[in-house]
Formats: sequence, C-alpha cells, structure tokens
Amino acid sequence: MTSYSYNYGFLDEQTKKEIRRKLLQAVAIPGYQVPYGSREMPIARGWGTGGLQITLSIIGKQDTLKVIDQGCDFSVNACNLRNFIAATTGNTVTTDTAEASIVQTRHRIPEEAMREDQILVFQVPYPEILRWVEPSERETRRMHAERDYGKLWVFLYEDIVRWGEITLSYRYPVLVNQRYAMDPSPIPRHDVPKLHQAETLFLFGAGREKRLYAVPPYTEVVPLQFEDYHFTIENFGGQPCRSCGSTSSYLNEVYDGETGERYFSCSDTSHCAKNSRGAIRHE
Amino acid sequence: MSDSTHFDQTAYTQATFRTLLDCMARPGKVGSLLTVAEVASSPFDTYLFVVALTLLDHEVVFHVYSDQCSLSSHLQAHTMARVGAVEECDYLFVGRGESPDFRRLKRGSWQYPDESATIIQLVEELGEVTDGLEQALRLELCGPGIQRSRTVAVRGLSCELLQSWRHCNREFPLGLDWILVDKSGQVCCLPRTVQFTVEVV
Repeated sequence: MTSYSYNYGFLDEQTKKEIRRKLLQAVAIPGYQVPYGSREMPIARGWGTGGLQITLSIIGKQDTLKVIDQGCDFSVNACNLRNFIAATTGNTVTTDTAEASIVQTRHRIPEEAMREDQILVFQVPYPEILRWVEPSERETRRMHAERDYGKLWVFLYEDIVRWGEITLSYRYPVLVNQRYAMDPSPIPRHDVPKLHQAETLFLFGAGREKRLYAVPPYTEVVPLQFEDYHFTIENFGGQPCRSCGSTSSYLNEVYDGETGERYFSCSDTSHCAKNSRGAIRHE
Repeated sequence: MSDSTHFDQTAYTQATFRTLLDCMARPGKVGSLLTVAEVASSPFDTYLFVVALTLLDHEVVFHVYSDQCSLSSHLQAHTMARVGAVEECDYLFVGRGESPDFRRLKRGSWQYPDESATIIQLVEELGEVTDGLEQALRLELCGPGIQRSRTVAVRGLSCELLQSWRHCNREFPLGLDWILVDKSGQVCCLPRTVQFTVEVV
C-alpha cells in the first residue's frame, strides 16, 4: 500500500454516489445530458475533469486502465491523467486497448474494436451540440424537450450551400435512439460510426459544463445527414500509415520541416505499434 | 459500517454500482449482488439494503412502500437520506409481493426527465431462462442496450404492475427506471427505454 491519505480514487464517497446515480439515469435516457455537481479537481477545468470524475467514480480494484489523448498514450494530458488515477487508486495501467477494462479518451475511439466487458469514458469540452446554433442554455433545454432540431438542420444546410458539403470535421451531430441530438465529443468523423450498435458502454463527462451523458451498447446512433448529402468519413486518398502501413485507421498528416516531406501516420499509437508487430488480425 | 474495521464499504459499493451500471446498460441481463456480514444483519432485506447503501445519501429522498417495521429510520440512519412521500421520492423501495401505484411517482419533466423516481423492488426469483421457475413471467425485451432481443424470467411480479409501469413510460423521455432484486441477490434493471412483451409460464 502507498502512504497517501486520499480516499480510494481521490473523490469522496458522496461525490462518487452522486455521479453514480446520474450515470444510471444517463444510461436510462440515452443521449440526454444529466446535470451534476462537477467537483474541483487538481487539474484545470477543460483538461478532462469530466472524464476523470466519471473514471474515478466507476473504477474498482480489478480494473485495468488506459488513457489516450487523440489516440496517443504518451501525450502530456494522457500521461498526467493516467499517473493521477494510478497514484490515487493503485490500479494497473496499460497502453493496450485489448487489456484495458476502462479506457478514458480525449477525442478518439480506439481503432481496435472494444468489447462488452469494457467501458469507454470520453472527456467532453462542449456537451451541448445545439451550442453551434443557440447560445442560451434555457433555450437549448426547450429545444431538446420538444425535439426541435430545425436550427441544427439549417446549420448543416447552410454549410452545404456555402461549401458544397458538410464541413464539420469533429463534433459531428448524431441522433441517439431516434430522440436526442447529441455531441459525440470532438472525435473525428472516422469514429462516429463506431458509436452505432456498439458492444461497449460509452460514458461522456463534461466537467466544466457540469453535464454527463451516455450511450448504452446496441443503441442506434445516426449522424445527421440529408437524403442527397450523406455523412462521409475522412478520406486520406488511399495513403497508408508510414509506420504500420494501415489504410483503414485514422491518420495524422505529418509535415517534416527540414525535408518538406508530407506523410501520414496512425493517430492511435497503440494500434499502430501492434499492427507493426503483426499483432492485429485483419478480417 | 464504521464499527467494523474490516468492512471496506468503498470497494463494496463500487462493486455493487458496477453491477447495477452493467445491468442498466444491458436491460434484462441478470447480475449478482454480493453480500457481506455487515449488511446481512440489517432488518431491511439484505439486497435492498445493499442497493440503498450504494445509491442513497443526504441529497436524495426515498420512500419505503408500506413500511411496517420502521425500515425507513434504519435506512435513514445508515445513508443520511431524507424520507419523503411517494410523490416526491427519488427512490422507492418495494417489498416482495407488493403493488404500489406507480402513477403517483414523479416521472421527471420534459426539460429534466432525470428528475424522476427509480423503483427498487424485491421479487421472488429472477433468471435469464425460465427453466425451474414456476409461475413466472417471461419478458421478451428490446430497446437500447439489447442486441435484437433478450429474455428474462421473473417470479413474484404481477402483470398489472408491469402494465402500470409501461403506462408510466408511455411518453419517453418521461418515465420510471426499475431495479428488480431477488432474494438470492440476483438483479435486473429495466430502464424506461425498454419495450417488452409478457408471457405467463
């Protein structure tokens, strides 16, 4: 045992209880944003406090944790959150998606298909998808209550008029269980279809905005699209990842300032490393 | 509780919560609650007490339906939660074989459907198959959390109560979430999104 004097998982039990109650309700009303009393955490709001509070409320001694930031296990945000959770729980951590029972993520869904026994926790900066079109919280509440999503449709339509396509590259609006318009967090469009009829439970936490929401497994999650302008995922022109050669994963474009060369590499570092070793089975 | 140095309530309520979360996310899945000596000595039914310990604190209001053994004060002493009328409670505890009027419970508002009641009800027996369960209701479930359909068998629940629950959930997202617990600690959750057909076996 370590000598720290915090409660297991840093949060006090009352806080965990509140978040747990709200999580059960969030699961029961897929896509609906449940208000909760987001606590002060030892990191700044906007740096993943929502996801962090959810993870600390659900984690138990048997869990193995993975934290990613934009697909990467080793960025500053991911390292600090992972170290913090490990220090206050003593839990095992991993970078392998398949080994983790809880994955906390900032802005990506892992490339490897997640299973029924895993939970994916998202860090969400702006939980309200209607904020694109409506600044008032009271008004967006009313719009959700009445399922009044006209303004959102007009927003997408205007994008098409202006650019000939829907230009949203992240935070692509989805409709959950045919009822609530939901912000899938700033995941790329590449990841949006993974939310639909998934095996895994998805939990979303927005600490600064004091909201949490959920998508249960096997739930319909459909991106908003028009009959003649369909939702599409990113296109990398068939270029493979330079490290592992994958053409199916989400890629980052990298620019080498010295040689002027442009190339692509996988955003999901764990998947990329496994793929390079030949540890990923391709169907 | 606090008089026992060995009882790790933090780990215990966490494990209970994860079972509830898993069952709520996968309606009809039957999970198992664990019991320990510290909760088994409760005058309240052990497994209802386990759920209460996990979910209740001073911020919520609960009601024990037809409370004849002052169980409310026992729960209050252990969780610090407030006792309230059926109409205002966040959590309703229902004993075996009882049929409260669900229509009196709060179902939330259109803007805040989460401000609704959750029912925690004791039944005779729960199972994923109907084998060995006599006079049980077989529920064929579908909805979010369920791949195509899922079957759960419940003994000790009336058709009328199921119909009344369905009636309360007719205007999604308003509704009531239902946690069923049996005497051996099996648990099954029915969130308001669940649709079901019922058959008596």
